[in-house]
Amino acid sequence: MEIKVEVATILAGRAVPPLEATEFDFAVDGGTDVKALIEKLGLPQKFVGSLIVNKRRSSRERVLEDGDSVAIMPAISGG
Amino acid sequence: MREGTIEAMHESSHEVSEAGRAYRCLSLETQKELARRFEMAPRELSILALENGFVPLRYLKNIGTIGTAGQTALLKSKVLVVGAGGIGGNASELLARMGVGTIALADPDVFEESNLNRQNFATEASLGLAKVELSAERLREINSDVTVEAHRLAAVSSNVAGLIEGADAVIDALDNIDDRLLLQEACRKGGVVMIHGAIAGSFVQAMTIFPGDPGLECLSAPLGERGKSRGIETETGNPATSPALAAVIQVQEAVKVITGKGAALRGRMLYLDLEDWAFDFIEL
Repeated sequence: MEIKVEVATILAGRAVPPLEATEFDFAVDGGTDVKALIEKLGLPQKFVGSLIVNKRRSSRERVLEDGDSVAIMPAISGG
Repeated sequence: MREGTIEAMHESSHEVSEAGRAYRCLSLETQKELARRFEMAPRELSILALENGFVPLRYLKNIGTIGTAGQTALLKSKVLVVGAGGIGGNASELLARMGVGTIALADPDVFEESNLNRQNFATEASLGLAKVELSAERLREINSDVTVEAHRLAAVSSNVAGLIEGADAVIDALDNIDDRLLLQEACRKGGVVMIHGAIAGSFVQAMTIFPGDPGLECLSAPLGERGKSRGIETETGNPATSPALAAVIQVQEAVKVITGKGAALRGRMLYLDLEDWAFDFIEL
C-alpha cells in the first residue's frame, strides 16, 4: 500500500541515509505502524517528536492504512 | 488629588493624530512631572491617563491594535517569563515595550560567550553577570511604567507555585522538556495560562495552554528517553532568528490572553520552519 509522508527538513537531513525529499509517496507493507515507518525511513528515534496522521496527532503504535498522510516533526526544546 | 491630576493632564496634553483619529497625548516628560507633582507611581499615572481619555505618547502606536482598554489591561497585568535566554530576553523586551505592568523573570544563569549570538541583553560587557539582574535593568530603562521582579533561580517543584502566583500569563522560555512539563503542571494547578515556545535551528513551535487544555503531554516525543530531555537543538544549535520569532509569537499570545482580543493558539501546536517555510498546525 502507499502512503504520503512529510518529514520536517531538520529531521530529513539526519536520516541514515539522508532523505532526498521532505514530501514523498512511500510504499509500506500492510500492518506497518508509525514506529516501523520511522525505522524504515532511517530517522533518528531520539529526535522524533510529534507524529501526525491525517492532520491529527498520532501515537507511534498507530497502524497505517492505504492512503494515509503522515507528518513527522522533530522533538525540540531550545530556548 | 485625582481631580487635580486630570485637570493637569488636560493642561499639559497635546493633540496627536494617529491612524485617522486624534488623541490627547502626554509626553514622557509631562508624565514624569505630573507623577512627581501628584506623588503617583509612573504606571499609576499612565493608567489614570488612559482611563480618562489620554494616551501616553509611548503607547500611541499600540492603541490602533489593542485600544486604550487593552493598553490599560496590559498595564494592570503581570507576566512571568521563565528562562532569560534566547526566547526570554526577547520576550521580556517586547512585554516591556507593549506596557505589561509587571514582568517577573526567573533564571539562575549568568551571561556566557555562547549566548552572544542570540540573547537580547547579552553584550560583551555583560559576560559573567546574572541574566535576570541585567535584564531587569534594561527593562526599567526601556519603560519606567514597568515593575520588574528578578528571580535569580531555576523554577523547581519547591518554588514554582510561588513564582506563578498572581501572573496573568506565564511565558515558557525554558530549554528542556522536563522543566517545561514541571512548569505546565504548576500552571494548571495554579489556574494560570502557560504560553509555550521552543526552537531548534530554524524551527519554531508554539502553543497557548489554558488550565484544562491539552498541552505538552500530547506531544509524541518519547519523554525520558533523552536524559535531561533535550531535543534536536543539541545538533542544530540555537541561532539568532528562531528564538526571536518564538518570543514574538509568545508575547502576541500573552497580549491576546490579557486583552481578550484575538484568537489564541489553543488546542493546537504551531510548527514553523524558517528554512523551507514549512508551516503546520497539529490539532491536539
